[in-house]
Parts: sequence; structure tokens; C-alpha cells
Amino acid sequence: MARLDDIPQPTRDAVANAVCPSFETAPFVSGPTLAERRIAIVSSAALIRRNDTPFLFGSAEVRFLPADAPLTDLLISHVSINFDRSGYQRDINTVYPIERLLELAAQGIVGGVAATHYTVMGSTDPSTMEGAADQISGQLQQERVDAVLLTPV
Amino acid sequence: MLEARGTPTVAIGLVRPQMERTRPPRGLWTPFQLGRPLGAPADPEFQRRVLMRALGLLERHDGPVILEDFPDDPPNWSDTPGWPATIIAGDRNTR
Repeated sequence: MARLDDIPQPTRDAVANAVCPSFETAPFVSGPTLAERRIAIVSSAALIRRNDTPFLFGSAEVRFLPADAPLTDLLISHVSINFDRSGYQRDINTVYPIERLLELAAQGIVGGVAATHYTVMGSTDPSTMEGAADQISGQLQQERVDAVLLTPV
Repeated sequence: MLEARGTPTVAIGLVRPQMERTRPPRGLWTPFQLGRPLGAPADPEFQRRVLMRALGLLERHDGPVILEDFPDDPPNWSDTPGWPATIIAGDRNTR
């Protein structure tokens, strides 16, 4: 139910007209088949563990999430009040599908699941996040990750 | 940003106009409530379908840009009638 026509105003205009980044290049990297890929998740939900400090408005940081972090400890600290929170409160996979990804790996449909996943504050201007991208990329390469799933909230 | 650093990416998105403007290398628009990019809580089969559709774009070679639409509404999508709440005009934080 995020078809624009279904969203009441003023939310509709706010999301439809949100400032979006543009990029000068259009990179496109190929890779092996899914069954050979190790996959990581990058969530823009500003996920935190229960006792962590929440992300602040405008934060350009990235936080690392171990794949085996207890899911009942994960909370969302994204600053926006514009999205439903009842879904993730029932099931974190609604936002961060780590259990589904582990199942696909156990069935051999994907090659593996990264040991580390990542989360950022999705409302932050991406132009301030080059440092976070460097951090994520460095860890991805260290863990020989073959693909990233980017999930919003 | 990560693709430019050498790692293939696929993005799920909830607001199609934002995906059209951002132009990710590979993107799957999911027509679900904001806050539910995988569609349905406690519905592993539906979540798996969404995830497989997104990951399947990694095996395409006809980009950039690849932008697909997930074809189905989640089951019981109206289980929170009245949502979303009204927001402050001009808020740009949903992304």
C-alpha cells in the first residue's frame, strides 16, 4: 500500500517530491550465479541493538550488525514518523530479512550469508556518506561478499 | 555508492518516483506500506518471494538501470486500517 494514490496528503507529496541524489556515473558490476554469492544486507532503517545509542538526525555513520545478533534485540531508530512500525515490531524480517536470507543459504539457493551486515540513517543526505560507503566496502571486501541487498524502511 | 566501489547491489524501494530519480543499478519496487519493504510480517513465504525477486535481478546483465515492479499486494495488507498517519507538511525524512 505504498502506491502513491493510496497515500494521503501531505505524506504523498512529501515522499513523491523528496530530494534524491543523482550520480554522474552508472556503475554496473556483474558477478557469479546466486548459488555462488555471499550476500550482505544494508538497511537504511537505522537499526540499533536494544542498549545502543539511537542514530541522530543527520547521522552519516554506519553501524555493523553481526549476522547472529539476536533479532529480538533489534530496534529501529530512524527519525521519520512517516512509516508503519507495527510490521517490524511483529517480525524484524519485514525490514531486515536476515532469517529469509539464511534460509536461502541453507537451501543452497544463495552461496552464503555475510558475517556482517550494515545499517545507516536513511534520511541522511547521501553526499555526506562517502566515509560510510568506504567503511562498508572495506568490510565487504574483507569478507569476500559478492552482492549487497539494500533495504529501505 | 557501493557498486562504484566494486560490489554488485540490488535495492528494494517503496516509493517508485524516488527509484526513478535515483536510478540504482538494479531495483525492485515493492508496492507495500512504508515501513514494510518485505511486505508482510510473520509471512515467511511472502517475504521469500519478495527476496527472491530482488536477488534474481543480480543475475541479469542488461543494466544499468534495471527497475522492476513486484506484482502483488501482500496478504492482509489492510491489517492496520487508517495507516499511514498524517505527517508534518514538507517532511523529507522518509527514504
